[in-house]
Amino acid sequence: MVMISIEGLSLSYDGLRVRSLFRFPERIRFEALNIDSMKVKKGEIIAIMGHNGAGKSTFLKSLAGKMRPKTGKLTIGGTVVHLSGVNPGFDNYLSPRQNLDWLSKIYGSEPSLIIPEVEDFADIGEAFDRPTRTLSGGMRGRVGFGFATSLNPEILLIDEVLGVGDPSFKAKATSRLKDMMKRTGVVMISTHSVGLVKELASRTVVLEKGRIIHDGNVSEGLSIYSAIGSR
Amino acid sequence: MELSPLRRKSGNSLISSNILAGLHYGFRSFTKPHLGYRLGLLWMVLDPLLKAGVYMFLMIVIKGRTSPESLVIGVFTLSTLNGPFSSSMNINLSNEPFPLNHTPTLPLIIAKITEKILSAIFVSLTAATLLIYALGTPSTILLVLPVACSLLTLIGTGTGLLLSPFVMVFKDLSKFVSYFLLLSFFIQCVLFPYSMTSGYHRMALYWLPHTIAVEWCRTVAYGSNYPFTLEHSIAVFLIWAVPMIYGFVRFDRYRWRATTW
Repeated sequence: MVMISIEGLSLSYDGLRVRSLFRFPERIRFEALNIDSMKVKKGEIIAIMGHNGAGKSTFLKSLAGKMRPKTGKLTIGGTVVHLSGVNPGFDNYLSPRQNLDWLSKIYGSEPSLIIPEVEDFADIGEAFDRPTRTLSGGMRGRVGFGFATSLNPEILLIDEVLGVGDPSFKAKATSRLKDMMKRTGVVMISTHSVGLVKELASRTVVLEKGRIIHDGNVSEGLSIYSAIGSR
Repeated sequence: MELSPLRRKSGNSLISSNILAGLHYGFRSFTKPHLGYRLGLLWMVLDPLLKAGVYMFLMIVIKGRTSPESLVIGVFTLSTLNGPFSSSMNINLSNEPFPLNHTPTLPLIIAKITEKILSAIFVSLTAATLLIYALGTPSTILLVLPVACSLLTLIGTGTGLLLSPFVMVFKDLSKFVSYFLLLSFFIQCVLFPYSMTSGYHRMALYWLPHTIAVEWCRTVAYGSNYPFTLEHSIAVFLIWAVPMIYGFVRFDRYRWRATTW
């Protein structure tokens, strides 16, 4: 069953570039993504690889329905969670518990089910009841990751989030992801971690300058990724 | 979900109940600015109370008048129009308040309306209470001022959204408009009643919703003659309802286009 279908997708950013203090800024357009065709089937775990600026985050954002394509068409067949950064919309003055209470309602979930599950996963002790702004980046990452994965989406998009946290969190998050993959239709992870790709991915997509230069076998994808890094 | 350059067709979303999500988000946005203060939500009352106090001081002590209600009503009605207009105009169209999932447009509009209407009601009720206790204004102002302020807030919010895509592309526009809003404090019926105006100025004010609302509140507050007919008052609000509704309806497409700006 095809969950994601992409045809002729291109995406560009518009903006203003300051030339010098004494000249008016000029309008610029930067092409960030250009993908001819791609299909993702249910049950696939795809690692999106590429160096900084290759278009990984833009690609995941567009799959999450947050960016307008310049050309082409994108069809997404399921509910999406896009985990990017460590803040899933938390209010800094409220505690994780208070944030989860109102965010669960926004997402149409039952707070009494979500909160204990996330509290147990995050395992941050009394910090769970402190204002979020007093939490470290790693602690916020634990709560954010726990909440995002507790929503049971059909398509999970993860943008570098596993980079935060200590080794025990990474191990815990990886195990939760594996568990989740059994329930979720599609997982796409943008990462630089070769170990994580080897452990989890069933397919790799390597991006360079917004274009796919490899789509398929994991070990082949990893060698292409290493090769473009040494250029 | 289907995405193309011209449209975003929503599919199943995790933000399941659009209206309820909008109400939750609107209430949260309404209370959020006060959460970082020691007095917390008490500032929802203190802010308008102190603002009204300052304007009353201005009129009574500086200008030497005994009836400052005209200015207080003028200031609060205009701020409930200009504030939401400015905030809607400068809304970040590409912003996702709940980054885990694309937030549908309907809850965003409902949230904006909820937040602004709640603010208008709090501000106007506080000002009306102050007018009643400090100046002996008839208690009907408790009903009239919130209704007038809420109507102006709706118009301000919708028409502001209409300008938001232009501000996104040409940011400088918000600077020009902010100065125009400042000017509107002096040319609309805030510092003076409609009866003191003449010529083109009077003609322009005749078609503005603020003039209708402020003169209605002043009539209730101190028994001045209401200078407009009921038909004209309704007509002005209906005319301004057109750009307001258009602003709400077009927001989805504008928001989509602005995501790559």
